[in-house]
Amino acid sequence: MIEPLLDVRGLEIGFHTDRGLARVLDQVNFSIGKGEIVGLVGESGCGKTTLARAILGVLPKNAAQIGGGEVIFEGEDLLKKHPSVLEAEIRGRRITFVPQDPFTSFNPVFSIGAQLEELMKWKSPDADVGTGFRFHGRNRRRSDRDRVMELLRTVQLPDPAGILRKYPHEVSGGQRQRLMIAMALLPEPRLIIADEPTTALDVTIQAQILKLLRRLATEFGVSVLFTTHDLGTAYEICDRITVMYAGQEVESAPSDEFFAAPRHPYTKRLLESLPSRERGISGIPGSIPGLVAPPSGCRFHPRCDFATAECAKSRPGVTDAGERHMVRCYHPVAAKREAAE
Amino acid sequence: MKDGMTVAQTDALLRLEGVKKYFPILNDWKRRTGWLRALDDVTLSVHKGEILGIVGESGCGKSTLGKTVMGIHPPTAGKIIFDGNDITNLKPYAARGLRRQLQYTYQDPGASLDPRWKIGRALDEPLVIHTELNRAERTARVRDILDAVGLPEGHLDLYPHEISGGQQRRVGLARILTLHPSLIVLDEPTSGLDVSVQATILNLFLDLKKQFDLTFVFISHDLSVVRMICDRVAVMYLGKVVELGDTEAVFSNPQHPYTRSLLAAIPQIGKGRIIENFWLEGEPPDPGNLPSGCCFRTRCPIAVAGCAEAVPPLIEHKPGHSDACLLSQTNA
Repeated sequence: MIEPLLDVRGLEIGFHTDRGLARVLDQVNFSIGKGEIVGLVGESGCGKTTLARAILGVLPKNAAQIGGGEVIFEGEDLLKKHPSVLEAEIRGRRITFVPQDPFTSFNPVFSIGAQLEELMKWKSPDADVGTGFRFHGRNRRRSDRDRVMELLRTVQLPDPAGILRKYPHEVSGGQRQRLMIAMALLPEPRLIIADEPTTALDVTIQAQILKLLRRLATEFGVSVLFTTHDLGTAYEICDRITVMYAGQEVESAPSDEFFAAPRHPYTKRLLESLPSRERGISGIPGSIPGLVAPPSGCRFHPRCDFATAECAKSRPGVTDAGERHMVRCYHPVAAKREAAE
Repeated sequence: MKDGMTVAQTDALLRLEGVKKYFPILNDWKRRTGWLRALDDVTLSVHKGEILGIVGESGCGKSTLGKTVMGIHPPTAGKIIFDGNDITNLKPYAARGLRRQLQYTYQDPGASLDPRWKIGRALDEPLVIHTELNRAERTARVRDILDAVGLPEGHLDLYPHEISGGQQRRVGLARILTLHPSLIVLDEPTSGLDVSVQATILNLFLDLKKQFDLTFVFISHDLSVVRMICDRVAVMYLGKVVELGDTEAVFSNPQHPYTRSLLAAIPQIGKGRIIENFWLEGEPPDPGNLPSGCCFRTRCPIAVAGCAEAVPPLIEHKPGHSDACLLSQTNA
């Protein structure tokens, strides 16, 4: 058993909307072990970004309502921490973030070097924690600069010194995403939250970035929470995969086991929706439910082939379906070990 | 003929001959400093009743190809022949008649629907423009189409923002189908959709193709989708077609190194992981300042000195499968 670095237990989050409270996360359990890359997979609107934001503590205060649960990171509940402590000690320091869109995440009016320098002022591993900004000497600036240059070489950017003088619009999307990964690694974090980091990129660039992320995660020993809607990219990079549907986590398993023997009916249908020449295409009938008045019990039951009265009554508990394989279903699909195609 | 389609030319519904589209690159004083070759000497045919896939990465000119066919961009050089007629530079009134036959769906269906028009009005508009039908006939035609694309009738009274992305695609399709076109250019028809929705939309395309006897040009960057539904596929890189052939032949036996790298980059569940053995390095060069000869040579692992000398032409060396690589041609 890998010791968990992050453990989300029974997290419940709602958003106030015009039509009422949308229950975006419903009793979600989720964990990441040390040095693990965990994929959080689901269709749009399933709550994967909300979960990532809840861990970072950047949910909009006026709209989001935390109904309960805990987010335990290195033994401390992040939900109970004061926002300023979270800002100074955790966010951008021990937990960092790689955004989906490398095009809008840089400030267009400052050079890349200036933006990296600004980051190092506050979040350098040598900077004092929680005392605010203080003048720092030439030595620290020098060591920070060395660190930046070394990391830019590590993420395989051509001409690191030249790129620091450039402005964000002058570098390509793939290079910007490499820079984002470098920025996420600079504070020497324990956990990187990567929110769909390759969705905006072309396939060949995506392959390069995935390769880089995997290598760096192993090299630096950081854990990665990798949210994606694409099961293919999740297969490439993740050690373990958690699937969410309409605000509920339905299955969690080690990557190989997950693709070889999915147990939850939703997971199975999702895998079958992937285009494949041999099998033809089959979608999932019906559509994703609204979250203001979601279906009772298991939220997948109106679209599920195996649903019974029980499913509508209460949400199934966590069932062990093998080593580190959790499924939340009353009628899990039999573990047929067919050769994954 | 460059792609050796002389034999099949008779049943080509759409044919592009040496089509070029150059966009000027302007400096700060609006002086032209160069040309961006979005399409460079593209020759290909679309046969009646087939689905031709156009694949490539962003900036390779695949959308420009679709828009040039539609006459949205006038081509710089070359000829576009549709159903036996040259449609390269049509006068606006002649183009209007053609639009009934040749249709285009935009990448983002949400943005291509007027947000202040109800779905019913959006579907009615093309019929008002292109046909002489009276109101009752138009309503009947709209209802037929709505049924064909699988939308409930109640949706006619909704606004575009009230329906989901998948349904917006269906409306976009319905809008085109009311005119009974023969060829539809689908520009990234599944981007931004979830896989489960994507699957139902793809099935819809196949159903409609049968029902209305359609021909599709399917522009996409998603190779697994293209493999799934296209009969033939053209791979583009920086404005040029580098490989063209039957989908199975191209996917199972790719000839051009770019096609090979593109295929190697697709994650395949259950097979070897690309992060362990993906070999392509670097990024595409600046399209305004292309390398000489073969554009891919700067990233190509097998490039030789000859690659820099001349642009290798697209040559068919197996029936129905052509490529533009110097090395595969010298080997053959």
